[in-house]
Amino acid sequence: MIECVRKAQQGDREAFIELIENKKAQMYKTALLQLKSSADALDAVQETILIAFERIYTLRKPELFNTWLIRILLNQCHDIQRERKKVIAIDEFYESNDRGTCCSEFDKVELKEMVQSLENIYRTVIDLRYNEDMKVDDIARVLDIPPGTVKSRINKALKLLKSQFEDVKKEGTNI
Amino acid sequence: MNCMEVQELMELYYNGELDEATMDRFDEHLKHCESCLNYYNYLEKTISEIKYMYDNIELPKELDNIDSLIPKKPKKKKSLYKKAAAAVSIILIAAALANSNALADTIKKIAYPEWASKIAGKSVTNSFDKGFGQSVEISDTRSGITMTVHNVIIEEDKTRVIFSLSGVRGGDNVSIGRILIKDKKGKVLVNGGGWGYTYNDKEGKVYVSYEGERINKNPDELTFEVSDIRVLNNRKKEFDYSMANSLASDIKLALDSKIYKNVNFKSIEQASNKLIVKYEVEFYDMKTYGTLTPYVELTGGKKTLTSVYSGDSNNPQTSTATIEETFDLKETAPNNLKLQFIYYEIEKELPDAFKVSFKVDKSTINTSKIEKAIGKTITIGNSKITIDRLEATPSETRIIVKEANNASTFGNISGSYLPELQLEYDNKLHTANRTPIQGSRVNEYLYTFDPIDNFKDVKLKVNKAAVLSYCNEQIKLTGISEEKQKTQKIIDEVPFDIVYYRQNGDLKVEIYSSDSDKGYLQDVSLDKDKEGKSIKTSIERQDLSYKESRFIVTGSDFKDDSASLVIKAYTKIINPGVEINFGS
Repeated sequence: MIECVRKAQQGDREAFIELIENKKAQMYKTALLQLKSSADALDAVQETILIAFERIYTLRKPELFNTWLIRILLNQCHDIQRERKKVIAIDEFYESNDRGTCCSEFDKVELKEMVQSLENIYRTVIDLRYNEDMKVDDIARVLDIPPGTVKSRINKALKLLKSQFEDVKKEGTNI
Repeated sequence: MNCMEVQELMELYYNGELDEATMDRFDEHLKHCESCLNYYNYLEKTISEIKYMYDNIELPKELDNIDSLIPKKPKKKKSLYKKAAAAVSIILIAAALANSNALADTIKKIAYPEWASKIAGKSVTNSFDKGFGQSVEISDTRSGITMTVHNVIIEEDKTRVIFSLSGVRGGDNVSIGRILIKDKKGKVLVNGGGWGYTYNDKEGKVYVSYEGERINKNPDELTFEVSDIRVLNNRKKEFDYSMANSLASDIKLALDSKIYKNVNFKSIEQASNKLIVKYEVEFYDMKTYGTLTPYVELTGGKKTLTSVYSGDSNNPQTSTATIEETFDLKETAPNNLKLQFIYYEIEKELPDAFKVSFKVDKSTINTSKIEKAIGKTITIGNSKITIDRLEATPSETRIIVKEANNASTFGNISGSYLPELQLEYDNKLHTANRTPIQGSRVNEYLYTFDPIDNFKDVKLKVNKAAVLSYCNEQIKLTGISEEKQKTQKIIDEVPFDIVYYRQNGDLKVEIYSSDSDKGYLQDVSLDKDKEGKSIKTSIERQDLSYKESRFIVTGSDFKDDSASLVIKAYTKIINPGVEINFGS
């Protein structure tokens, strides 16, 4: 990857495309979890690709390409959130979801929605950890917080999911 | 290990990020604790469900074809001020150079302009001596300006074109928007987009030694193309200093300009011995003109102390730059001052591209390069750098230094951490020609030396490096009076001389390194007074280089007879004492 980043930095467009090809799925999923809308997520990803392409030469350490890219993406998501202050109607959300692929007790409660409804700081660590598959130290670097904080946020996020899950289960049985 | 600890470590355990000992204790606990085991089962399930959830998000078809989302070329703009970072560098030529008549004679005799070696270093001369520089001497004249391509040198990893622009009025500046090298069919081989900004000699001739990326193949014919040329004229606007006292709101400076949409003076403040001028410049087109920052000059006063600029020509959203300039008013009666606003105006914009095509003498192309891996990591203070490799091309020898892999995360090695490198051969020590510049790869730094003909008994020496050190050294200043007192403090072998006295009710402390080969000062302050109150302190630094700097610390309105000075940071010169031998 490092060689690829270097080539891209020297203006090699194919190398840049290769880098993005490898990251596009993760990027889109991250954006979707952050923004809850497919159109917005796509915007964020497109914008991130453009920025990265134009500014890749400013990246001083090629090995940090991934963290650098995610930083740009998260900033883009943040900008979009701020700009549109968009509140997603629950109906729209359900419509846009492709359900029925899940195969466990979670399918009734839609895990994606639960992750999305987490507070921003918890949602982001979950995403970086399980979508971007990042190590604690790398997450710390992306978010500019100490590794210890990353660990506790991950734990907290998982606990929150647990309690949400239990709430939903209770509701489910009531109905 | 208790349940809480275990639950905190669970996620790391799941991801296999615990060390063995912790893992053993973890396992041990889990064997006996049912609630933790339940929690772990839950966690495992949740995480795998989260991953499953991600796997099942479908990508929109817009992302199928990434190619279509990316423009054909990056809109790369480089600031003029980042000369060192430019992979493509245009070397500026000092004003005083050989006059053009003498030059014509020189060209005939030695086939390369003498000034070229001055601006491009010995490498140009050497290239010609070895027979692979090519003389071109073809001109193209448009709108009264003539571009002449003098020489071309094609090497393994760079293409150098030495050219000049004449017909520019003496004193005007020229900016060059784009430089291209094309092959016979018009295909671009080298794209030197971005801005060059050159100075002019008094004869109205601008000299440029352009260094571009390598040309990979051996072309029969090349076209050198220079376009988006702007001739810029320096303008001055004098304004009434008395407005300094009446500046209640923004004052707009009326300029009939194509570059600056608005110039607003936000404030002009006079504070003790300083005049601080703050203004905002709105550009019509930040991307194109953002580097043509106007400035303020003060006549009748002393030199400018600092100029703070904030603006970003890389960011298309910004159009405004804020500039703050501070002047030294010492020994100057403020009513004699005149402020001048200096800006640029476009004298001429040349829409045409200047083109010169020439046949390439293939015998002059030299693409040989020797590469020797070194891979020696050395520690300098808190930084680690790796002396990565040596590269020798016919025109220069380079040592490439990298940030070591385990260097601090986002930190960069700054110039002050880069050691001085010397090569020893032919029983002589050769110090690098230039201070290291950032190489074409981002985390590399390049030291260039003269070319070496014979690689027998070449030794690389690292004897000197600068390390920034933080400290908190207190120095008692006692018996403060109008008379100058002297003291010395040695920190980590770096000697600092200190002179202190009272002047106009202020405490003045001068502090400087008395041996800049051992180290020098970076930051200093005054500590609280006897009653524990902060002293109102201002610090100024005389001389632009820290190495030679004398810091003058002023404690305003100071009544005590003693104070303490705190040295907070200094740079220490160390000797890494590294020696690397190259065999034949």
